[in-house]
Amino acid sequence: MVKIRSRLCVVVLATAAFTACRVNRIQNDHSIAQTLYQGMGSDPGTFNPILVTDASSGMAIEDLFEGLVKINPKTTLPEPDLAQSWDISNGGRTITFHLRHDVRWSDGVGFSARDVLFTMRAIYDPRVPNSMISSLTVDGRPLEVEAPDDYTVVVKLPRPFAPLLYAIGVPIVPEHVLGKALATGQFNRTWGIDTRPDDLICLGPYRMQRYVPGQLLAFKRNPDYWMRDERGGRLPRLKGQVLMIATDRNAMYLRFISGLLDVYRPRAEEVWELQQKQGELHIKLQPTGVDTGSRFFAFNRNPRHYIHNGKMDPKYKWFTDINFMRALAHALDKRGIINLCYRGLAVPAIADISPADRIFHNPNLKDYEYDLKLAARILDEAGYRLLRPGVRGDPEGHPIVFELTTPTGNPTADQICAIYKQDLAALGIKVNYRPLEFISLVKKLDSTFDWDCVLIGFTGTIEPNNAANFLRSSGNLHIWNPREPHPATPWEAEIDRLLDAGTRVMDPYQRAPYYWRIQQILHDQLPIIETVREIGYVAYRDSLENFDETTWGVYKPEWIQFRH
Amino acid sequence: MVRFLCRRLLLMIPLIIGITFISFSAMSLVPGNFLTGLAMNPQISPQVIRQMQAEFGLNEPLLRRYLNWLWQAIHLNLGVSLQYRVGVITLIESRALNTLILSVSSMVFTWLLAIPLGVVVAVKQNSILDRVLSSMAFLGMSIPAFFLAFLALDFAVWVNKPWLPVGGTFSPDYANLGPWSKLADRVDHLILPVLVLGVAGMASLMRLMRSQILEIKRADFVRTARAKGLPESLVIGKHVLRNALNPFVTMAGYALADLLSGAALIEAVMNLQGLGLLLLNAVQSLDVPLVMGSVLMGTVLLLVGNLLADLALVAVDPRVDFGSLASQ
Amino acid sequence: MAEWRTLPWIVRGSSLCLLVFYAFAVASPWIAPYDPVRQYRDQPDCPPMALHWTSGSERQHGWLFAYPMKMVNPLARTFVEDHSRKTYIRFFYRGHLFTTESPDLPWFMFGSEGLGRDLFSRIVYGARVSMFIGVVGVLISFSLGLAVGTFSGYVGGTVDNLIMRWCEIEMSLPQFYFLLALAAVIPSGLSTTVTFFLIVAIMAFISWAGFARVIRGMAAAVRTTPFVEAGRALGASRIRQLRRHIVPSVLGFAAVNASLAIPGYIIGESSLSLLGLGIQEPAASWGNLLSQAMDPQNVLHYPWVLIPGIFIALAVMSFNFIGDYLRDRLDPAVIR
Repeated sequence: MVKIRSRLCVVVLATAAFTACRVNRIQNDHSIAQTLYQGMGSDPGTFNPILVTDASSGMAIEDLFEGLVKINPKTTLPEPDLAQSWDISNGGRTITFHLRHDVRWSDGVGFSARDVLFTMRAIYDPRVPNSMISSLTVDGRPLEVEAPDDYTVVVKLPRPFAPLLYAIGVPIVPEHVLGKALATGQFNRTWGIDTRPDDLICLGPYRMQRYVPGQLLAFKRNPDYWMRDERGGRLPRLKGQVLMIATDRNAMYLRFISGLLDVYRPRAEEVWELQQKQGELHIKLQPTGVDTGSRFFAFNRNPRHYIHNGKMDPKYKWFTDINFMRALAHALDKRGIINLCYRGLAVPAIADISPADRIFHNPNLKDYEYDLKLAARILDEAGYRLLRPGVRGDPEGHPIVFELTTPTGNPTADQICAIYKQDLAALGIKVNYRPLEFISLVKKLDSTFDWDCVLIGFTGTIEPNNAANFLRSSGNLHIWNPREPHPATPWEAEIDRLLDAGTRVMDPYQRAPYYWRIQQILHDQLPIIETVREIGYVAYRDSLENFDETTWGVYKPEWIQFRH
Repeated sequence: MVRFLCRRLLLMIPLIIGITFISFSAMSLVPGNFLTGLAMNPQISPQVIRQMQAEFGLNEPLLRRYLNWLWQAIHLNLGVSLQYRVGVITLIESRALNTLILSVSSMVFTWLLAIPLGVVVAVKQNSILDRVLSSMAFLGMSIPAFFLAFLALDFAVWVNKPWLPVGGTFSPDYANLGPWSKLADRVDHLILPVLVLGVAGMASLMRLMRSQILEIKRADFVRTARAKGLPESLVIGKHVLRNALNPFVTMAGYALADLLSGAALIEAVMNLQGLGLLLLNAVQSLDVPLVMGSVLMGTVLLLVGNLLADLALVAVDPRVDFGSLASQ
Repeated sequence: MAEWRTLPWIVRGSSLCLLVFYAFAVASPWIAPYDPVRQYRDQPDCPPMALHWTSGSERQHGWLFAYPMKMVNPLARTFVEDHSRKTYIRFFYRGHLFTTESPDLPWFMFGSEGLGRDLFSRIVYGARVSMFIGVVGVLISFSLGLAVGTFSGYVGGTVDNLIMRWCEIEMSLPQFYFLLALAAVIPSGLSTTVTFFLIVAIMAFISWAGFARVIRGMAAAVRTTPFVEAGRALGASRIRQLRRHIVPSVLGFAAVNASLAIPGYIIGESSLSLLGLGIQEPAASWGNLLSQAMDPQNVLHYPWVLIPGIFIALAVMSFNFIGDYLRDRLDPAVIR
């Protein structure tokens, strides 16, 4: 026993020593250091701006590189960036960009039109897989880009193409650093996440200082940044930025509460607490606006999925029957979803373009009101009658049962599905719900087409033509029936025509009616049933000045500073 | 003994090949591959995906891909991660130290506390102390570890002291600290994860130790030792403990493999940059080279751990010898 | 089996506890006062409701009543009692052990969860999954592990070698992959019960190897002890030796280990749900009910989401105490 007791003592002492071993350090004072701490959901995959395909990598290099133009998040219109101005001529077929003369790369070399040409060459290089090429392609052809002198870039288009100004703002990379790699086919291996921060030659408002995998990305101010404020003062005003990586949302929230992060975008269930604690935590809480994306139930209308042994599955008839779909739309309790899943901080989604896209959103659509009695009447009248209590059948007597799926790991999506399933059960429609791992689900959506109904979300962009892949009947993401050889329905053909016409008009306000009409068609034909859009919030330290965030991003981020 | 060692070491080769091959095939059971996820990105065209498919060699047949991988692995080249486009070894290296520090300290904490407590509880069977500690152990076992991690973080926020940080492995200003402060900073960040990881493991270890001791205590040789008039502490320390350690030695062998496997959920919650999370992400995105790299590492560690455990068994348990282990 | 009265109180208590939980599982439609999937959409995260005594002429409705709750702040989810209405509790009513007179005015004994479903009813139905998953899983994996482990340890030689190497292969496989692969292969549209059994089988199949190895180490040790050697000298058959000497000597360890493994199954089931492999909405299990408590925000503001955790803890502790007691009873040294 003696032995044991002494061993216990050792343990206790060790534990005590362990907990006592600490230093008193001055609390990190972000405002003295003028350093802004933000959270980030996962590690970046690459630092090469051309190769970025994920949000975290995009966030990591966002402040290091710039494009010819950038989009103003308030007006949702393109503004000068590396190009100080541009002229449109030749009926919209030629765009001439005049570049800034005062921009230098971080190694001291001047920025010039050659870098722009190089960047375009990298994007069009067949050996460089990237996500920008599709939006820089007009009718399947690359743009013709020329540089008559060092500070002028001319882009020639085969036809007027309005989305170009929204797409041309790709991050420009330095030719004198990466040129050799592209020529030798090593471009895909350059600027990976193991690159030394000093080797990332950039020209944005910040430079990378340090990357600690899984922990943080630190940036310091670029002392040579070209932008000045109204009084000619240097920008950005912050001396540095840190992106803290936190995979878990709760951990991120706790870090904000404890003062480690300065900015946090709370979930609906956290808004109330933050609102109450604004004074205590010295924070401000502001709504940023309606979510830019769209989350909807899509129904499989792909005939290839429904032919089994030469016979057509009755589901095909249901999902292409406008009456059936209208009843399903009336059965979706958007109010309930808003209250149960978003604490009231959401709005019903009616059109597939978010109201955040103020020019292109169609405000004139009338929602399908939640009304189970009406839904039942529509079904009855269309011949979908109750076979027995609680079981509805189609006009041919098949009981109505279908599968519902969504990517795993999203509790809100689970809840929305549970709510919908419950209401459909009240109509006598049986729904089998099973979420699927993302990759398995994509496989079904994209190649095996072995699904009935899916709840899925797309992020939104300001340029509506970016959704062409989803809207066009021949698109890969035309989710209800991808890659149709010919438009399967007259309304899909009309959407195809509208998409073409919409890109030929240069003025955004004159373009809008084409996209309004597309939204109207989707709303009437119901290949998808829109759910709701969350109202975003942002919370930040009240010592931050000029912090102004919209749902499209931070407005004039270079002006942000801590109060002295 | 040399013969035994040689046999076991030779046996490892087919084992490693078998395990890696089964894992490799299992991954191709999952429909889709690393690039399938990109298909839902409206900005990425199918041509780009086809290009990448060819670049990563994902079009080759399964056996071909496996043999390619194996051939490279033999040359100590574990390939390049698809997600990060960085060498697998570099990636694993960057996380291994964190995981190792965390798992070694939580293991030391667990074993140092659980084994003596198990002994005490067993010696004082059915006393109040036994009941209280046992109940606490059961409670510790019934709380999911990730949940405990949340509670710990909540606690840290509530305490709000600089020496009890809210997750992470070190502070943002770590690079500017002196060597001693660096160490202290690391230790500060270890407190909560070690406690969280320790509690669950400790509870079950303690219960196992208790039952082992109780079992051995009734054995004839213990009765003999008592009859000889040995003091109780010697009986327990010398006869009972040595014999009770058998299953723990085997378990310690597995623990070696666990050293570098990490605990993904807790790493996620507490924001520890460990291998568990890296592997979880790799698995979810079907980053084959990265997964295979960690499978290979885990396999080697497990096999070595088992071998060491068997050797230790001979050393510790008087009832086991090479004859019984290696009559093979 | 010992007489009920002579059992220690803690064992009696544990047995009662498990009895109640199994009653939940078997008679859930009768015990649960409400439909476990019915959503009271105006009462999400409603706190447990207080009961009041009826008086006077109200007695015809029963002895107890509660005031329905009304949500006053949807953002904070705060509720107040609505004193203008009453809902009466009736026992043995409409085929339930107890329920309110009208199912439209529910009484939430343990509060409601995020979609306004009655937590108590969901716990009762969840027992169907949780009370069986651990037992069935442990039964499969431990009988496999015990059989293989004792056999391998006792027989020794090449067979032992082969079996142990197979265990090693099985243990070093990244199990996550198999689950992922299986999740993708299991056809959708299977009933919850079938999915449930598939999960149990998968989990059990994955976890027997480690246990077998530990048991085998012990069996190898026991093999050289005098009483086994004496038995061998006396010409006892292999089967008899295995059954009479080897198995009993490792059984105690196995029993404790088994009781230790049950919580792993109950909790493991909830992480499988996150993978899309476990019990899915709207069906309930204790594991997926507790996963609501994964959010510290929920725990802080709606502490009753922890109640399923109490049920899990009670079940786990009961299994452990009983396992402990059985170990003492099964110990060969005590029997003879």
